[in-house]
This record gives sequence, structure tokens and C-alpha cells, in this order.
Amino acid sequence: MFTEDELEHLREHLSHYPERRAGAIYCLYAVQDKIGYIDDKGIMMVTELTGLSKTQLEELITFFTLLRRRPVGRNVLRICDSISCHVMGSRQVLEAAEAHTGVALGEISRTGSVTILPSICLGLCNHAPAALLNDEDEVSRLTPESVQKLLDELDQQPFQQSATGSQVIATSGHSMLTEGRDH
Amino acid sequence: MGTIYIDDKPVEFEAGQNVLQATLKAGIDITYFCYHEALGSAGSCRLCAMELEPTKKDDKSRVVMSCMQVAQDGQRYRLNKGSADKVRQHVVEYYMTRHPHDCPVCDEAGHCHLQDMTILSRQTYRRYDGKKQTFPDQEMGPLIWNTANRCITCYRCARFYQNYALGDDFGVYCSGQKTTFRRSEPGAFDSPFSGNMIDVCPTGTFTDKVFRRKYSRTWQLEKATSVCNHCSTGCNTEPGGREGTLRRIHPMTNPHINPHFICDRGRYGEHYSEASDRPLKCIIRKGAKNPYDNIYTHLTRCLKKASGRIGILSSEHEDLQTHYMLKQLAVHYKGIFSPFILPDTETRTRSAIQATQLPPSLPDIETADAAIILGSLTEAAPMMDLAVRQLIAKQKPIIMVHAVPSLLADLIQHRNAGEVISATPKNWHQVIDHLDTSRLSDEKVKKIVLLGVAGEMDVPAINAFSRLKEKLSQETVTVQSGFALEGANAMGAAVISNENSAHELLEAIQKLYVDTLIVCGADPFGEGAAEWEPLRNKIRQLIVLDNINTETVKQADIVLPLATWSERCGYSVNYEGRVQPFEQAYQRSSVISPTEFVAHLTPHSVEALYRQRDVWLTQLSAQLVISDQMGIQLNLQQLSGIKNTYSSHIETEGLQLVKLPWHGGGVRADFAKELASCNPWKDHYVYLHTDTAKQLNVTTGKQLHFKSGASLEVLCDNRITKDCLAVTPLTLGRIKCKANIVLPLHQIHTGETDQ
Ligand code: SF4
Ligand code: SF4
Ligand code: FES
Repeated sequence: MFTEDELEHLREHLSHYPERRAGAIYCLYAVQDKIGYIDDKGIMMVTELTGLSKTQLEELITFFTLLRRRPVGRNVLRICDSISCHVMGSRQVLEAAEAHTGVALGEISRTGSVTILPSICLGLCNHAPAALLNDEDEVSRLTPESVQKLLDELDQQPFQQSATGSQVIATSGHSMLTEGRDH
Repeated sequence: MGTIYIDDKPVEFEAGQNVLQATLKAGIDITYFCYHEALGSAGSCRLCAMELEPTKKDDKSRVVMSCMQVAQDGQRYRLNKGSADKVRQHVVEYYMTRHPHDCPVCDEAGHCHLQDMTILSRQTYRRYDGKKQTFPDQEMGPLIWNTANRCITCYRCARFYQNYALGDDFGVYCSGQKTTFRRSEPGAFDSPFSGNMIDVCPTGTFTDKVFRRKYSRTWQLEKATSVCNHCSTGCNTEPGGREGTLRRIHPMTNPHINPHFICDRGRYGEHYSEASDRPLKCIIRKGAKNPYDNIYTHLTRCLKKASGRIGILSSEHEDLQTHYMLKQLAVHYKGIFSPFILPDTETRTRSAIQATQLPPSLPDIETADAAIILGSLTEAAPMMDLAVRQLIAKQKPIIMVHAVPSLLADLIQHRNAGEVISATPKNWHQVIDHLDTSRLSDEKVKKIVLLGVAGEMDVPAINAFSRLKEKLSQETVTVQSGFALEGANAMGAAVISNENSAHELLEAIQKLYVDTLIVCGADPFGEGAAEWEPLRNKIRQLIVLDNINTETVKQADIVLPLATWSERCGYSVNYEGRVQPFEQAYQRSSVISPTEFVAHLTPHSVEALYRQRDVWLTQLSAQLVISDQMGIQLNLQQLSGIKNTYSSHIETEGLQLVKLPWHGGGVRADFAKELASCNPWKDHYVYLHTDTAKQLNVTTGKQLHFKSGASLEVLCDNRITKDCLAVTPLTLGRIKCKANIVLPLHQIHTGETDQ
């Protein structure tokens, strides 16, 4: 899964912590950045790197919403459903988005372009109902219509993966999928 | 020490106690979930709220969690008289919004902490119209049943499983409303202590799957305090029976042994009593019986005829009372009695008892500063292992020597908690003599426990164990040493019998002095086949009492159905020399206790036999230490009678045949089908390291032939120490070999070299 170069980077990173297990999230992100989600093989690898058990890693992944165990579409759109966004109509936005993709929330849309996830507060209450695209781009003041338009655009967008090597292993979990892309 | 006031009532506390502990100790009822005596406080359930009165005049009172509040002299708390009462009611109501309306169909109902706490809080109503969060139940193997919706997220299970039992295949998933507790994948738990989740969980999320199939509300069970007979730890249990059958085993608190928990072998192994092939009728296969006689008249006549030529054999797995009664029978009919099946076992047991000094109780082990373990402890005495796990959790130094895979060795390695040495048992005496104990020579190390597994050690290894003890003992360091012995009552068996009793009995049969054999709770022709099988044709009458369908039962001329420990009373002596009485929990009509058996065959009544037993028990130890639950503790130093003088020749060149134990296995536990289905080892195979396989020129799938004529299929497994041939106990009987013997290479061969 990782090149020797990348593995070396991870080991080096882990060595900065007093305990290896402190770097578990970083390693999980690295797996996710590499293949889009964390698969069983990735878990085994992080188990070896950090000394944490499979269960402990699964506990972490299910606790943090930004880590995922299943493949996602080429884009991930997290639509906030916490209080401010809810008041401003996020439920309708989520329903419209779900209808547009033709699959349930959390699944990959038929075209493969996107996975929609409900999200806890993104801290964008002033732009409610808000969403986060690919963990980076904020989308503000969504309406059922604007979300459908956004999803149409994503359907059109060609997917490209460009970066490789240790430069893609980001420190905060910024997806390498977004790295080669212009914003 | 000091006093706090709960609703104006003075409550004494001890240093370090929290307010909840002190309150509960004082017998005051208060609601709580997440606090557990063994697991401590978590402060997560918010159900133990009390109102702390202000100390200064203008301050306000505040609601605090009593389990998180260290008791301080003079503090005043309001339990029912303040606003915390309402808080607790709201918390219960909140939990109930999440909890299903399951009580009528829930196995926990009637002994459910959640029910009790809800009633105690006097909250009878819940206001909630929303959709309830639901979770899929997980398949958790043959022992535990999961109903995930019943969870109230108190975290007790995870704290027990991960932090106390150091398991890592079960955990907490997700967060908030979605929090759920499960294994990383469906299937049986890896931990030998998984059954405790049933008791630790305050709700019916985890229930006993074996009990579930023959369920009874707990108030309808017939119960009593009993002693577990599945290893020499002697944990206290509370079997529950109904209508003459065993329904479940529950731990019984004994602060000196098992204050809270028991292992899965103790909990599920006892269900051997319900095995479908258990002998439950008297069977006479040979010898015409007068139709007007009952079985005992028939037996008495047989024994009278054979008087002077009778051998009586019991085992280390039977209790002291049984041994005592059989000894009376031997006296009456001038017979020879042995409570050991094999001389080797007797030798190891006697040597181990001699080497036992200041045997550590489980709480002693838990509070030691370092431990040295010789043998697969998890598999020999699971609860000793759980005690050692507390040392691992506290990162105390540990050294372990083992030959066959042991969960404890894996854990020590995985947690980097010490040194694990894998060595063939025949070399252990050298390993022990050259053990590098420098990691224990920290000045903080004041108490070291030294634990051996008698079944895996030979006499030189046990002697090396004693030397090690001497070496480690210093003025400032106490060393406590003990052994996991080979049967629940192995210590008692050594106490009651003469030296070399097994050897004597075998010799008497060999020389035809004995031709009638009474066997009670032993399997000489299965477990002991190596030495007993050749003598089979010298025994003209074989009378067997047992509660499992052993090879010996199958060969018996007369079979009598023996009561299990849960079905009769008795005494057992654990590895520490603690003499513990156990009571009959429920009555099964068709079975017979050893005392009744002896009373039928001698002029003594049951009561008279009990009186004799009491006299003997009082004489047994000049110094009786009597305390509430503890019974009598033997003064080991005074038992000078326990000597080992028998020694067998030990071969050192060749491969050593070792038993492959697992934490749920045992002579009887193997007949408990649900537990036995979790056994990781296969019968009729021989497991060996690939290097050993190379040496023998075999690979997985090939056959290995033994001198006895038997052959076994090879399975390569690198967890087995080199130079060892590992087989299950059952396989050992089948190939008619004794455990731990060293086989010269020319005695083992593959089919190919033969041709
Ligand atoms: S399963 Fe039981 S012990 Fe575990 S958190 Fe839920 S209620 Fe508590
Ligand atoms: S440790 Fe031994 S005595 Fe205790 S419950 Fe387990 S098998 Fe029984
Ligand atoms: S018992 Fe105190 S918060 Fe749970």
C-alpha cells in the first residue's frame, strides 16, 4: 500500500511522540488519503506501526466522523444538520441531495461522483445551512436547488489523482485527493 | 479515617474511599451504575448525584457525583433531602428513554441492576415521543448472548474487558447517541474471562447463552455456596439448579480468593453435568445379580468376597471428603487407596507442595511488585492469570517461561510487560537456574510472587524453583511461591494419602495382590492409559462411580452415577492449602454421593461418617485458622508428612511430549459442550514447530508413528517450542503416553522411513 519512502515518513513521524500510539490518527489519515478510505489491510498496517489493536483502531475510526471504513465517491459533501443549520432548513437540503444522488446518505452516488454525509456542526453557523466539500471547501447558504446544482457540477467534473510519494501525507489529514486539484 | 454525614446520618469512611463507597458500605441505598468495586469510578452515569452542603455561610450547595468525591472529614451531603434526588430521577428517566420495554422477556429481569436502580429512584414515568435509537445485536459465540438495545452506556463492560482483563477484541464504537459496545467482528470472545461481562453489565445487554437454553428466573433457582472444581484455585461459586438439573453458575464473592469474578471454565465448564452421555443410572454389565437384591447388596457381596484384594482409586479432581470416605472403605475391606491416577502426577504434586512457601492468594498476586511464572498459567489456573494481569496493567516486571502457547505469554509479549522465554520443559531446571532476574532487582520491588504450573514441571525444575526462591529472598524482599496444581483438590489428595500411593496401587495390581478395582471420579484407562492399560486384564472386577462418560466408565463392569460437586457437599483444598467446604446446591434424584456409597457398603451411617470426618479434619492441622468464608487453612510447614521419595528415570535426549492445554479445557470441562466448542486445538493431531518437523523429516499432513503403535497427523505450528511434540490431553490418552515424557528420536518415525 505504501512505498518504502512513505512508510519511512510514517515511522519518522511516530517517533516524535512519547508513545507510538499517539500517532494512530495520523497513520489512519495516511491510509485514507492514499486509497480514499481505510480498508482491512490499512488497519493491519496501522496496527503494526502503532501497536494498537484492531479493536482500538476501529474504536477511533467510529468515534471520529472524518475517518471512514467504506469507500466514498470522488467527492465527499458533508451537510451540517446541527441546530443552526437545522433551523435554517438543512433537512430539506439533505433530502434534496439524497433524492438527487438516488442512493441513501453515506452511499456512493450512482454516477460515482459524490457521497453525501450528514455532519455535526461545522462552525459555519453564520452561513447556515452550510456544508463542507472534500474536507476543505466551504459551501454556504444551501438550498435544495443550490445543492442539486452543486451535485450536477460534481457529476461533470473529471477526476484526477496526481500527487504521489511522501509529500501527499499531510499533517492534518488534508486529503491528497484534493491536493492536485485547483480550488 | 473520618466521618461524613449523609442526610445528617454520620457515616465512617476509610482513607482514600470516595463518598459513594462509604455510603454503600454503611448500608445506605443509593443509585449508581458506572461505579464497580473492582473497576472503580468512572463518573459517567451521573446517577450517584448528591448535594454537597456549603462550608461557608454565603456559599451555595452544589450537586456532585459521589463516586468522584473523595470523602473528607466533616463533609455533609444531602442524598434524599436535597435537590440531587430530582437529578437522579431525571437521569434515570433519561436512561429509560433509550432502553427498550424488555423486562418481561429479558433474562436479566429479577436480578437487574437497572431495574433495582430505577425502582430505588422512584421514577415511574418517561416522557419521550422520539424514535428510539436501535442497534443490531451481535453474534458473540456459544457462551454470551447480546441484546444491544438494552445498553445504557455505563462503560463497565469495556472497562472490565479492556482495562481489567486486558482483552482487545471488544470495545466501544461510535459516539453520542450511537455509542455501542461490541466485538470488532462477530464470534466468540478471546478472553478466558468473558463470562464476567454478564455480571458486570448492569442491564441485560450481555446474558448467559447457556443458561438461556434452560432458563429459570433466578428466584426460582436452588442455590448454595460451592467451590469450583475445574482447577486448583478453588474459586467460590454459586451453582443454581432447578428440577434436578444445573441451570447456571454464578460467582460467589470470597475476598480471599475471588472477590468478584470467575473464569469461563468455572462458569461454563460445570455444565458437563448436563452432558447427554452422562451416566445417570446404575449399570451392571458383568456378574449375575440376584433379582431381589438391590445394587448395594449385590456390591457388598462382591466386595466381601474380594476383601483383601481391593484397590480403590480416586483422583486429584475429587474432593477431600470423597477421599476420606473412600479411605474408610479401604480400611473396611482391607484395600489399597490412592487418590492419584499416575505416580508422576503424585510425584509432581508432592514436590510442588514441598516447594510451596507463603503461597500467595489471588489478592496477594494482584498486589505484588513483580512476578515469575513458570508454565502456561492461563490454561492451568485462569484466575491466577487474571491476578497477574493486574500486574501487567500496572507495568510491574514479569518473567515467564513456557513451552506451549499461553494467552498470558502472548499478552506479556504484546504489552512489552517483561521477558518471555520459550523452552522445552525438560530444560526448565537449567533455564530457571540461569534466569536473569536483574529486572526484578529494583529497590521498589518488595514482594515477588513465584508461580509454577506443576503439570508441566519435573522434579529437577521444581527443585530449581525452590533454589530461585532462596536466591530472590532477601531481608527487604518477600517471595511468595505457589503452584497451580493438577487437580482442584490435588493438595488434599497429597495430604490424605500415603507417599507413593499410586505406585503402590499399580504394583499391587501388577503383582496380582489386587484384582477388584473401585474407581471414583477418575479415568485410569483414558487419562492414565499409559500405565493402566497394560494392567487391564489383571482386573477382574471394575466398579466405577463417575459423572462423565469416560473410557473407564465404558469399560466398567458396574457403573454408579456419581453426584457432581454442585449436587453434593464436601471439602476441597486449594493450591494455598485453604480447606473450603462446599454445599449441595440442588438435588438430582438418580445420583449418589461418595459418602452415601460408602455408608451403603459399610456398617457406618452417613451421619457417623460425617462425625468421623469432622474429628479427622480437626486433627489434620494442629493450627487451625478459621475465618468466615475461608474454612480452614492448612499449615503447610507442619505437613511434614508430604514428602516425595519416588522418582522416575528421566530421559533427556529426544523430543518431549507435552500437553496442549487451553483455558476452557479440563477433565470434566471437556464434557461441557458449549465451552468445549471453543477449543482451539484439534484432537488426534500432533502439533510441532517447523524446525522440529524438519528434524523428523515431516510436514503438515504427514503421519507420525509412535512406539505404542498409534499414529497422528502432523500440524506445524511455530508457537510450539522446538523439541516439543504437543498433543491435546485426549490424544495423549489415545496414544497411551504420559505427559512430559521424552521420546528418543528412534521411537518416533514417519511412515516413509519405515518402508
Ligand atoms: S453493555 Fe452493559 S456494561 Fe456495557 S456499557 Fe452497556 S449497560 Fe454498561
Ligand atoms: S480459576 Fe479455576 S477455580 Fe477459579 S473459576 Fe476458573 S477453573 Fe474454577
Ligand atoms: S456511579 Fe457515580 S457517576 Fe456513575
